[in-house]
Amino acid sequence: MPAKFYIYLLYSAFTSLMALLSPSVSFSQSNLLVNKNGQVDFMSDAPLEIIRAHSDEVIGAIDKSKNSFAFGLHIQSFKGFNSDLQREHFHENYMETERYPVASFSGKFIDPVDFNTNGIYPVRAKGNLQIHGVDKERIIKGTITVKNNVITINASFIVSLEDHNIKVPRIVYQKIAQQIIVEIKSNFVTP
Amino acid sequence: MPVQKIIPVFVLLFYGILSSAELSAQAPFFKNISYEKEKKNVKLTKIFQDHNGYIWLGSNYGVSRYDGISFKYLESDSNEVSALAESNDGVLWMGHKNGSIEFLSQNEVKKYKAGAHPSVAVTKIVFDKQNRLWLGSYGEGIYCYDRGNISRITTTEGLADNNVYDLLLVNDTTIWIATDLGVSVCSINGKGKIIQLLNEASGLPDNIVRTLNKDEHGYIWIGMQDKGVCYYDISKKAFLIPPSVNGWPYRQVNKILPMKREVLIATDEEGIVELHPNLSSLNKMSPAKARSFQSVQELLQDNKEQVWVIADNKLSLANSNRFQLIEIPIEWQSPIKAITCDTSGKLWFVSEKGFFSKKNNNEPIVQETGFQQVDCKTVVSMYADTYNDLWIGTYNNGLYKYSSVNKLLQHYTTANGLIDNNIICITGRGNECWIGTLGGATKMDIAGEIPVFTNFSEKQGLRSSFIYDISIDYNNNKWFASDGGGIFRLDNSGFHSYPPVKGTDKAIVYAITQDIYGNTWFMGPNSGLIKYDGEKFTRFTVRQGLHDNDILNLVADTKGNLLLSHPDGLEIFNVQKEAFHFFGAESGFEGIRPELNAFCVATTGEIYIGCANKIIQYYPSSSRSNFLPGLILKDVQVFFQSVGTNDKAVFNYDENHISFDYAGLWYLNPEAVEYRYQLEGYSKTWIDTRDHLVTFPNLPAGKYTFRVLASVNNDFRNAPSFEYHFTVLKPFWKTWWFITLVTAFICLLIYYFIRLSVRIAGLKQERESQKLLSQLNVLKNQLNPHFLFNSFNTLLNIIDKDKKSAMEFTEQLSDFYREVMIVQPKELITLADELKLLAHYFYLQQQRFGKSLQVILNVGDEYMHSMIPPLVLQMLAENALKHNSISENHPLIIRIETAQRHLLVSNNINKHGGTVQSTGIGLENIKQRILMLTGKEVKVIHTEDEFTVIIPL
Repeated sequence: MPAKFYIYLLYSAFTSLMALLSPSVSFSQSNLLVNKNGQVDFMSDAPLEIIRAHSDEVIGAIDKSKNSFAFGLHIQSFKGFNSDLQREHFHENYMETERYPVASFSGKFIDPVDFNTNGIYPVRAKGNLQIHGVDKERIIKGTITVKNNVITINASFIVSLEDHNIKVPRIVYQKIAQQIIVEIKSNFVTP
Repeated sequence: MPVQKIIPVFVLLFYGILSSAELSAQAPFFKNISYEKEKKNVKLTKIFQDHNGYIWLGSNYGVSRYDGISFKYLESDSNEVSALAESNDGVLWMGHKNGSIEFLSQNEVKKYKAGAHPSVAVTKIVFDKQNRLWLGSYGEGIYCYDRGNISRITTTEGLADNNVYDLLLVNDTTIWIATDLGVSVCSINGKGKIIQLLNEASGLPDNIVRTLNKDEHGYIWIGMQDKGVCYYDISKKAFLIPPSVNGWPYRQVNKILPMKREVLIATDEEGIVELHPNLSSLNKMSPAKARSFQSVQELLQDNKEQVWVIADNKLSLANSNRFQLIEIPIEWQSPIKAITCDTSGKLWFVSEKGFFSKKNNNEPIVQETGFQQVDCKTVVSMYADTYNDLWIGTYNNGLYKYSSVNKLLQHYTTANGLIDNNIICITGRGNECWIGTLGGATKMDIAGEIPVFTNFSEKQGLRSSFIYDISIDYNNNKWFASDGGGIFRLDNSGFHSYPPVKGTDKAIVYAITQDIYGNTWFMGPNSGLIKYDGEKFTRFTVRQGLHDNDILNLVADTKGNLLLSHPDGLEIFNVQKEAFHFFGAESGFEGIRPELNAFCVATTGEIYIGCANKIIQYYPSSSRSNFLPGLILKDVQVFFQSVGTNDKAVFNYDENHISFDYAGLWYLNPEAVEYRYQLEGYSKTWIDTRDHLVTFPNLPAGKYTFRVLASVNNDFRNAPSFEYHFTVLKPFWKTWWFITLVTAFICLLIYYFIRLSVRIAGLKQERESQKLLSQLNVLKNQLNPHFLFNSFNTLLNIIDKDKKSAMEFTEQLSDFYREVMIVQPKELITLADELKLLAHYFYLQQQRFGKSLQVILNVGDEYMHSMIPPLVLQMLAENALKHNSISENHPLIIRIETAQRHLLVSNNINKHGGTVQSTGIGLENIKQRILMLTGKEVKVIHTEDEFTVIIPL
């Protein structure tokens, strides 16, 4: 199942990554690092309610030689929420998870990173953020930490519901923020 | 006071200061312009002003043109507009998100078919000096279109990145290209070549360059994704980062707009950020009353130095250049009684809520302590002197001095030598200050620790002791505005008064000031504005363009203008041009109503006007062009069909229903534009209107010049204008050649007519004379003694024989003469009548000649009504009798016959022995008469033995 899911992701959302990976390049090549257990947290900080959810099924891939990356996850994998009903609303009413099962972000690191030297690199990643089926070009600030053979990517950014055409009824504005804070973390281990 | 109570008060105060920090920053007043959304989900993308002054708005539906009154949508099937530019020949070009390029031709959108265009978004279009089109694309680098030749610059040619955010034409030879990997400098000679890369390695703070712009000093401003802004000095080849930009917290920059004083920065999330003059400080513009922008996409400064903003998908406009608003925190809002600015630029003001100050542009308003002793409800005037000490005048409580050094207050009243305790105004220069009170004026020497007062009352020559205002002119003369004494002046020789000015009542003057040209200006209740140039007084009222004769405050600025306030706004008066310009609700000045002393002039020239909830900061400017609306002829129409606006048009005589559609571009307050037009050739009068369409139906042929002036203050001197010349052709029947032809024709006709009538008259006369001649002839013949003698002989012969015959003969004779008398005056008679007459004649003659005279009459009945001159036949018969011998052997046979419309009268010829003198008159007369009357000729055939006369019938 995980392998199948990975391939599905690659085909459905990681099209740009596919472009980066020519068919001849095999996954064993050391430039390409993959992590299937990245973490993502989101928080909606509305005046009347704070909603948090978490997933540790973020699939990520970076290509060190090309400074490119791709991340994706199944919206269904989010856990948390303040109630089951809320979770249901999240999937059915707002995210329309059945129609748009995947969210992704893929692109390039703009600022230079030396993946072979230990250090903390503040970096901006420019790419296409796809949520709820709506693409938006974003430049997202994050840090890449290289420590021995582990590369850690951290980023925090805001997703505006309006940008992605996620419609929330006016009546719940007090409970659901228009700007959702998203944090992502992923470790890549160089073999 | 117990400690527990002090703490909340302190906290509250502290909180107040903190909360005010952001509110008190000044900002222009942004007016929202509602963009009529005919279509759903309109996304505004770009804004541009063309050379005519039109504002063009790009959106996901294409472009629309705004003239202040309405948006004109230009239909096209285009995609979202992502770039707007104007070529050197004035054509508007549009780049689109899908890569297509369009341009406008005769107000129609046309696709640019140059061959290749990007398949990705066009991000920017610029035109170089040679009118080549340079295009930045998001993914395909640069395209250059040189009249059909396309060249490209991509990473292959050395471009830093193919995603181009912005292009800037730096000078005639280089273009800057903003990308994610810094700026590429491209030489645009020939096909263009990348000559330099500017990135973090060369000192650029952030590689992701979102936008570029150029300021008036030639510096290149660079807006970045993360590090704010910096600018590049081309001569020094160095990036310069304003210190205040360090640690930039406002995230992505979308646009930079360097203006005369400050630099405006459009950010993606934090609204507009203002970088202040000399780049010292940075603050987020927070138009508390206007908009609180977040995502600002576009900033544009138009030709009137107004700022247009597209932010959060809304269009706004601010008159930012002249006025800035400083909002007063809500808890401190109350009408400001007095305001002053010290030499350091620190602003002081007082209201019922207390004393406040504001250090400079970016500092918040703070409440001042140390004035508890002063009852702020009584304060009416305030003045900061040359030592930055504050002088505070009150009603009834005298004067306070607040020392800038030791922050202590000193109190002066009549007990200390003041003339009166009601201190209405305070002013001064150097160590000499003047105080106007309700009891006279006081001169105050402030050189020492303790002021020295010198009082002036009516005893010393004051015209009135109620002094409302004092002004010190450039020659150090003091001018007083008084209640009851009008204005008066103090110079070295004493007080001088001036007669009350016509139109102002009771010699009440509220305020007096001097402009930089040395004129004195003053005003009283509803007096309008009065100027004294040293010789004469001139009054300016609403007739001269003043907004309202009710002026609340009056002060001269340092650039040759006067600043006036009215209950509903501020007005600037340009002294040299004598032009007024009013700023009202559209500038955020609705109901400002400043108090008497709520005006002050800073040493740097700005004027502050204190209102209840805000302080208006006015920057003097000598340029007046910004007060003039733009004026354009939008369209000319014939029978409401557009015919274009090309001058010197020629219209046919039936294309004489002409409309002019013009617009005065005055975006801040489009409703204020008034027009004055004249159609020379039609009427000399100028017509005032607010309509921007005027129609002239039924114009007669002629040459016309249509002139329009536009004004925003009803003052049309120096107003922008245009002329449009056109001609309405005459219809062909009014053209000169046609008229000449017709006139010539008529003349000819008249000439012929006259000639004809002269001829007819001549003929008639001749006929008349012929007739007379014939009558005479006939008479002569009839009175011919032979005829009578013969007749009487005949009568004698028969009178005995046959009485009855004699009687008949006599009757016949008399009948004959009667008939002759009847027919003689007639022109024509019928042949029947003539024959009747002839019958009488022959009867008479036959009585004499018997069978020797034979008459053969053979006249067709159809000719009986033919007309002939009277007595013609009789004369012919008489002639025949006269010229022939008549006997039984040789009878005279006279035939009268008709044939083929001719009457033939013939007789055989029996020559007389003797000769009868033939005059020929009789026959000739007959010929003439018949010719004249019928135009036909009488023929005479004279053979050996027959004489025939043929008369046409």
